[in-house]
Amino acid sequence: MSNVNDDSPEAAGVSAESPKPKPNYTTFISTIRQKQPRSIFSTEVADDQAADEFRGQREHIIAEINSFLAKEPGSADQLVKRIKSLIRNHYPASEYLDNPVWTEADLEDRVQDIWETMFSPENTAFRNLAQIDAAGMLNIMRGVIRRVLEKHANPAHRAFYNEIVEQIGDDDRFDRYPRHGNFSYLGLTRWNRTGKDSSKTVDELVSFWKESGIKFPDMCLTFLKAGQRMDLCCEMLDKLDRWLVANHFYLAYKRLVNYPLSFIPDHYSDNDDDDGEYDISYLVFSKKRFWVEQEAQRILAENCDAWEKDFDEITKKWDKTRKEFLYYYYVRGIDAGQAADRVGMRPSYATQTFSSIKSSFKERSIKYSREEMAAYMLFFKVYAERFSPAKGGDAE
Amino acid sequence: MNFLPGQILPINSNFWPDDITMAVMALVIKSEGDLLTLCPVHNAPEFASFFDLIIPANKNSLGCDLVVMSENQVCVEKSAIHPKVWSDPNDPYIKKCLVMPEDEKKRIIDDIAYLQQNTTIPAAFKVMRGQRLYENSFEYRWRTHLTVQWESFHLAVLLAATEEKIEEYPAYMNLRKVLETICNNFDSFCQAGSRWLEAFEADMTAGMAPSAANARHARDGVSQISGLKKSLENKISEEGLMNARNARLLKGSVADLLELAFRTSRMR
Repeated sequence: MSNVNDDSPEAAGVSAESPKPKPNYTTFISTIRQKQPRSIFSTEVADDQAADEFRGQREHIIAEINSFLAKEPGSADQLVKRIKSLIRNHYPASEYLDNPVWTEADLEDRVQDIWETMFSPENTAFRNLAQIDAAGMLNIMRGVIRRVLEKHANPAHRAFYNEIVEQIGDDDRFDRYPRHGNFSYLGLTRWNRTGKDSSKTVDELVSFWKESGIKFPDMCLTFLKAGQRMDLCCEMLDKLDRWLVANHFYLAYKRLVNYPLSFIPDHYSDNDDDDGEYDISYLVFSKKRFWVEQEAQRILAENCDAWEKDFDEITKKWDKTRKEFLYYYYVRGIDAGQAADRVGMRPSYATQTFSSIKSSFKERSIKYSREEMAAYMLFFKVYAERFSPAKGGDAE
Repeated sequence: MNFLPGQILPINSNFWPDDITMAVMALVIKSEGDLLTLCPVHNAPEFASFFDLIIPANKNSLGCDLVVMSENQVCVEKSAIHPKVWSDPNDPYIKKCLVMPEDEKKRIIDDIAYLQQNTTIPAAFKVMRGQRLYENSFEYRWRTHLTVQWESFHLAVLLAATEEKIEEYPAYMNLRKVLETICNNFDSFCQAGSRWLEAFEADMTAGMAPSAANARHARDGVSQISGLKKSLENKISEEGLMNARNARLLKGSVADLLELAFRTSRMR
């Protein structure tokens, strides 16, 4: 899946070119038998200049990590330094942090997390059992860096990803080709016949679209609905009339609409009070992502019988519309306004429902730990499947 | 060397795509001659979905968290397993995998069966399983990526196994041409699964820079794979070997067709 943050060459600022032909039979077989190691540092780079600079360092970086893996003295420090540099240069603080710049403390936090994830005794044991070689380890570390950064990413970044990248991926009009060679392309169907692709850099694309007469909304001030957003993207591609490296499009779009947002739509908000204690109303009210850990699984296994009874009691008074709304919102992951629309209600129904549920939960204002809340959310996602319209929207 | 259901083994990394971002092992579900039914095992419970079995580190002899993706079972040739399992069974890590206690292996297989059969509360949570993942979530995307990698592994193993013993396959299968077609469209086949024909046609009509020659080539490709499917179907019907498994393989992905070719060639 293509990603604004992925490590594909277009993300590294390589200029667009037509996808290369697929390997032939003989070369393919030899390729799958003799794999080449890849660097963990081949992640996204915002512009071509940085990419060139980075490419020059690549061999040196690989050598450093290999020496680290061979446990040479001092190489751990060098690796840490490189990881910090990678984060600072290639993961914009405005997207992956709540601050405009990475501070040394932020970087320390992330490196610590990456280190613990990568070199925890359990992960090391698994990698040893899986017979992962040095090249594989480097790639896994690349994944770990991404995982850790994504885990702490700014909700605005995730909103962008869900609102633009994912929707473009699902929309046939964009003819998205994530698999042609190492490039991910966007373009409308009729361009297939022309075979023309854009070689413009991100800066050039921004200028081109600025001058093209399209009205770009300031996303800091306004919220565009899904249909409008996609129409805008189509118009951008229409004006360009070329195939285009997907990541160039995403980066240009962000600049043109003033991403990241200065406000976060409710349904993506992760910034609820994170004091480690959660009210039960949080359950149906928020989609905060809990990284479910073993403890949550244990709590769930021990309590699901009792919880089922509790929830039968709680939801007994809920009407069919509310249950179906929660099914769409919570189980299917549709945003609140659209979920209300699905059950034939106005968008304000979502707010009213949340308020009503919240107040009805007040009498049960027990505070739960993070693990308990994670277990509850796991439970409720399965429980709420009973509210599916296919099952009559009823809990029985 | 015989592998028993429930055994967890390292996979042959030569067949794993280059862009590995997570270590993966394989759980043996079934072993029949040279064929093994495997499902992927990783060690990141946060990416576990509802049909994935989680075995915490303190509840298995390997000493690390294990997540068994029970829905992604594939049938592959034995070369899918890391060659060191044969060449160096005394390697401490290989040995650890090979000496997994019998009752533990049985428990894993039983838990997988339970997990697949029990999906409602409260029974669903009597085994440790993952959560339903939102389609747009990071976890979902990560898992989808891993699934595609696993499918690519599946196809690469069967492709290499077929190529290695191509002389043993009957001529009517015309496998040389088929293998060439698969190699030229490897990614498409991995992504498309059982919808390979549609995917092939889509590639043909929406190719990046189509020419008459490319279009003809693509049509030839479709006809090669369709030809294999047809000849396998005829052979199986003639021999009276049409059963549920063979019917499923005939309707399945290109890798399934290669598996069927493998089985059919050994039925002679």
